[in-house]
Amino acid sequence: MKKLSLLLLVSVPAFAHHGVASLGAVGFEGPGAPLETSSSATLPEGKWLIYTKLDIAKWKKYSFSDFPDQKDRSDFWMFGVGYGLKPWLSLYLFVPYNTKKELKEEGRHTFTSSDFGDISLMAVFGFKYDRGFKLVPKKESLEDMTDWHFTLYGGFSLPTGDANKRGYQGEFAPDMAGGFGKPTLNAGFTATKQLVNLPQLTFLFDTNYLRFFEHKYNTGDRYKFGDEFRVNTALAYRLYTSMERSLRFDLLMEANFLYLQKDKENGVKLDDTGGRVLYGTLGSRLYYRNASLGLGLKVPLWKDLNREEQQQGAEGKEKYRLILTFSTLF
Amino acid sequence: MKALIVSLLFFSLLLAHELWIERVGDAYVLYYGHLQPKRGEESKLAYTPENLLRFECLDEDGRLLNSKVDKSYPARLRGSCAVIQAEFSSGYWTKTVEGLKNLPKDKVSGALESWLSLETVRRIERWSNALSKPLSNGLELVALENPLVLRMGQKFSIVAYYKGRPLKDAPISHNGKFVGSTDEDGRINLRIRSLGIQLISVSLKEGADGVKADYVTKTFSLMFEVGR
Repeated sequence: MKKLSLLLLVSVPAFAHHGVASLGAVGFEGPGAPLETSSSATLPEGKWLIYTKLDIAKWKKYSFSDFPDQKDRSDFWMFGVGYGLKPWLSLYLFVPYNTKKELKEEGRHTFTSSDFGDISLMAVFGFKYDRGFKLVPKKESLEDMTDWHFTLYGGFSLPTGDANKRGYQGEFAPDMAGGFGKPTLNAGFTATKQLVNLPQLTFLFDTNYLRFFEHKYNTGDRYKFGDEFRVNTALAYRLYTSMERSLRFDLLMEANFLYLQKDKENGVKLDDTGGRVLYGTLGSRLYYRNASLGLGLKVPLWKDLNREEQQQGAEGKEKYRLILTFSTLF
Repeated sequence: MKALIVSLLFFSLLLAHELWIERVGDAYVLYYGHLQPKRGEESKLAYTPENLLRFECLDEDGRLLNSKVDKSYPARLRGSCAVIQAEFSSGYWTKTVEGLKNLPKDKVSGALESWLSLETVRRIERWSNALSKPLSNGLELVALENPLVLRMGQKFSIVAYYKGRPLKDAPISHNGKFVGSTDEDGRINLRIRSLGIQLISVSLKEGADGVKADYVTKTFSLMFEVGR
């Protein structure tokens, strides 16, 4: 029997691709916002953002002789609220809620675990290059929006989720639990450029690092999830805009690279965890007034997983991921 | 500025007719219509001498210079000017159930909405720093730096003023395209996207007497040419 992977199955807070036409009518011709790659958009000063994301991961299944227990589907919900403290400083709070369904005992039983995850907090610092580096100003013209924009961001999670929640028949299963038991740290950088001569097209770059810490579970086991490093690039193409109708429709294309360190159990690295994955994401985003709705399909294009033949239900082993987002600003 | 109603006029800015001054031979010629007409739109619309309220030649400090003006359509001005400025009014406009009429509110029946249209255009021919400040107490746009040395693709900043003070949240169009509204300092950044005439406009509404019109629509356009 091959061991089931314990890779992290929780979405990283996706804070900045709120994709709301936040700057009034001008926003309908401003930079695009992908689904997975964070954009360099900060929230307008004094404005609130409500954000919801659903990431449905459908896992590839294999022979039950190889994997008697298999992950079937995971629904990663993310609920967030953001506030523009300054035009160049946004604060976010996220609450994940995850539902994970497993097939147990060669498919004879199913087990579903649903729980809130760890709350996370994040700060986003925005700056731009316009005849010199400067903080993101309170108001920008359409021409200002075609400048290079950047953000530096950092955040942490608090262990508010139930890390000790047991799996099927009370088994020790950290990947099925709600929380990680310890805070996590997250830091990243984004760059966004709306092309001057083709303003319908926006290029985006995002890289971030997520650090986990070892947690001692109430079974006495110690477990540390492998750190995660991401590099995302995206193109957003504005296909349709109507300022009169406050309507906009974008097509989105992304390349999402993920490097996962090996997990550690009781101080020992798990050789059948971790690896590298390159995803491709195709999607679209519809803007209406101060709200936006995003939809995308994400699939692994290439992967180099550690002991890949022993992994199931881990990143890189998806059949597909379906991503839905909704954001509104007020 | 309590009486002032600065409203988001960008759609009307886009739809409205424009006023601009072209150099033709040794004369400056005033045109009214659409600088970049869309399909079905007329480029140049005839007007009467009564529409032209002022047509002036100014030096680098905004002082009035002597010039020769012929007000017959299209109005022409001859002189050695650093700045050429025209004030124009297409008159009163009243929206009725039967359509739009070029008449004051008290001269039509069934008036729905009425306004007086006042427009000013300022063409920069020679630059001095005095032109980076408003020359009047009215609605104005000024360039912060010499716009005549700008090149294709370069960004530049302008400031909107009204009654001598920076005007915030004022909608700005550049060559007929809405590009945003001014910040708290009345400022907005633009970019040279084409050679030739640069026509930058701002509009605001102000309450009127309610008899002939409900409000006055004031539009100011700053223009200059970029040759490289």
